[in-house]
Amino acid sequence: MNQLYCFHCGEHVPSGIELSVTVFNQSKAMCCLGCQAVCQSIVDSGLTSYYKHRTQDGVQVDEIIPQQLQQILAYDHDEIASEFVHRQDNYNEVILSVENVSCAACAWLIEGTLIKLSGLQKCNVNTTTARIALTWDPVTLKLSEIILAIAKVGYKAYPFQADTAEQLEVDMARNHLRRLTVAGLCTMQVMMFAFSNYFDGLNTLSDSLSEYFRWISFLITLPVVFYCASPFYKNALSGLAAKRLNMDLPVMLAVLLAFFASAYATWLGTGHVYFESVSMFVFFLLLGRFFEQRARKKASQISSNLLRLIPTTANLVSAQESLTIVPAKTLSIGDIVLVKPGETIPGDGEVINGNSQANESVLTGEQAPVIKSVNDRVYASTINIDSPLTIKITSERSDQLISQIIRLQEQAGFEKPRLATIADSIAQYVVIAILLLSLCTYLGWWLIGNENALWYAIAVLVATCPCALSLATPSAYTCARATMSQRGLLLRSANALDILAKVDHVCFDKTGTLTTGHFTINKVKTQLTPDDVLSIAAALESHSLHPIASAFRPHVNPSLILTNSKSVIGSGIEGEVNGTYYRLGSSDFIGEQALDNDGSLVIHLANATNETLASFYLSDQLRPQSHALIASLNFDSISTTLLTGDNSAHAEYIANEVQVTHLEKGQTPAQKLKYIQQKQQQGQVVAMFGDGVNDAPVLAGAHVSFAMGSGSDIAKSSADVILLHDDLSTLTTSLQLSYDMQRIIKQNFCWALGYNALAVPFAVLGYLPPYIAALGMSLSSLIVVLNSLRLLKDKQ
Amino acid sequence: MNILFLLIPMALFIIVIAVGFFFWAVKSEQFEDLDRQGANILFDDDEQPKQQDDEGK
Repeated sequence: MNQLYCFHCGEHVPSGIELSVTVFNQSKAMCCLGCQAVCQSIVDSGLTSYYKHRTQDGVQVDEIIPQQLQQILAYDHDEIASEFVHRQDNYNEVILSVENVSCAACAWLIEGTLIKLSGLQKCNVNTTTARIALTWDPVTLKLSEIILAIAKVGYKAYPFQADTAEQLEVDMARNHLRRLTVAGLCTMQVMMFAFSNYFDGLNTLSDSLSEYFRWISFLITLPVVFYCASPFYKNALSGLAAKRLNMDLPVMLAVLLAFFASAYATWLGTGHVYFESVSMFVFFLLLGRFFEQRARKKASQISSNLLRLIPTTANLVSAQESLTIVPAKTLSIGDIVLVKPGETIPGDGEVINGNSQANESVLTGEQAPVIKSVNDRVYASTINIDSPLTIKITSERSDQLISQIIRLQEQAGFEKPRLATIADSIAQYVVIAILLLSLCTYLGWWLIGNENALWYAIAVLVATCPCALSLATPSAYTCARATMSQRGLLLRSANALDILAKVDHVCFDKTGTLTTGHFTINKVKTQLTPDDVLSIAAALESHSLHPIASAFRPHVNPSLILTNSKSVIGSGIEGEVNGTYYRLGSSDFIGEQALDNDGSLVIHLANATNETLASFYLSDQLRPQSHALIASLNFDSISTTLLTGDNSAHAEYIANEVQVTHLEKGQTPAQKLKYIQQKQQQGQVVAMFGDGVNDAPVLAGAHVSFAMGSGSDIAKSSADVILLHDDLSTLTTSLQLSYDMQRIIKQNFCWALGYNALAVPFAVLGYLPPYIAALGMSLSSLIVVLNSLRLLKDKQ
Repeated sequence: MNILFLLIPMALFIIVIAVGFFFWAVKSEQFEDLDRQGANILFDDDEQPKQQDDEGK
């Protein structure tokens, strides 16, 4: 059979779907209503060039559900907007992050759509950062209209929380680019004058011209030494202030000594000048750091994009019983709010009316919903499931349970133990050796009475190749980071890879980390056809927001219609499917015994005569990679702990299933943090995997931490590494990568030092003029960089 | 060779101007998105929307 692919997103077109859009005068197949609507609106706006020039298929588009629409409309509230919208004269400005902007065609499409909105002043899509900068007139246009217009062509745009580190990185990257260019231009100029001296074999250069060249070179080197190289001085001095010797110290000494000695020679009119060596040295160093900087900037931009600002609104009930929508952050103690099913509870409070269940997994990690009735406490950020609840706010925002967890996370991040990286420890010794050696050279020649003593000492400094040495680690980091991001791992902190190689204890959260966090049906026990009972159950659950309802969703049969449905809170659902009465629910609800309990949840389907028709066994399934990951960690004799907030039998079942070495269940966020702090005090290097708000403190406190890309924002902003595709198996590859990186760094240091060992005797004895030393240095640096590039090779 | 005494300062002056332009370009964010501008020329701006008449009203 001829398989059809969706013209817009490239997915298979499911059988039975016949949707199409006419593009380029041909009828093209579409896989779903979402894609059809998007494609039609692209064609109608005359933006079909997008399909001609795109380099990747679009993304399958889901239609906007009312809840999302409400969130988007909430961006128009002044109090919410003030968090991210800037006001400039009469215009509003905002930067949004856009999902799935992958090529110039996407950018063009979005700009082409937005430009038609009246009131829009300026829009600029940046494909590198996946962001869009907007300026609009708030009188004629609303932010929600802009976001909906972007959604209409199939992209999701969000305001985001800029990473605090990001602005710093962007500024630094810009400064760096300026410094690098100035250094490059000046180096070329100085080289030109230096070459006329190097190759003046026929002595055609007159003395006056030669002196003129020196002064010009001096002039051109000034900005290199005092502008371009200034970050090195700053690092070296701040290192000294902290009583540490870093690689920037010999760099600073070599640059400054060589420059001032050359300037002195220029002033006197005799002796050698080495302006070209100084410039070239600075240029190469800046070039090496430039690439590292760029990789860092990119990582911090991606991680900010992940932190979406989704506003929580609340339905405030006034004294006259009327509802007003207000931002959750404006609520105060004593306010009465109505929370509809499916909505997020806006604050900590007490139920004063209604009966429902709340999904508190965000705070506790427990999947099973908690029953809420009058006088029960409910917590901000948890989700109301079954029926409307009226609650009275009883805590200030800063006293909410979630705010307490955030404070715990900040505290833990502050107390996070720092481990020395391999580069730091090697660099210490190398720097001391270099400094001592050049000092001895100078003293030795000076005692003998040689007037060139200073030059020989500088040659030693330059020849000992701080360049290759200082490139040894940044180049390896940059390459390793690039490889990580290729595999879907976003490195937020640079030395996470360094620490990873030392890890001897890995802790995992259960729900959402080792498991998928969604219920799936494992087993169906029935006398009838499984497909039939499944679709009946799916019909019964079709209106439910309960987490288990999603497990039945794939089995929905559109021909079955649910009527007269009623949910019994905490127990189950009853209703008529195509006119026949059924009940679906827990063992107590149906009056049936669950047979074998391996930690799965058992749901029964019964008919009007209370005869059990089928039993469904549901559980939160393990991620497919969990088994292999823990097995390989056990093989490497790295201890593993399942550190979960869940207190049920499922925790034991999962722990047994994947064979972790320790299990700690029913842990609060504070207890989790305490557990890893204990391990750290015993001298273990602990890595943590998590996804929920309740994992945030422990993620912040672990030596190195991983957050799932689908996890909560707080978890992502506390982790060192984000698993963008939720693929746990990447840990094994990143462990391997971190071992490789350690090896490469050691090799780089060995090479750089080996080269030095060879060059230094000549330099000490005064046989190595600084320009040859600089040339050798460049070669040596090149070899170091090439060696680091081996980390880019994908071994998979 | 005396002309060099004039030509070199002139060359330096031009470099200063070039650096000035470069700083301006960095400041006006022209180096923020290097991936996209290369492909921009491919898109035709003259393609007319189908329903332009309806929208114009």
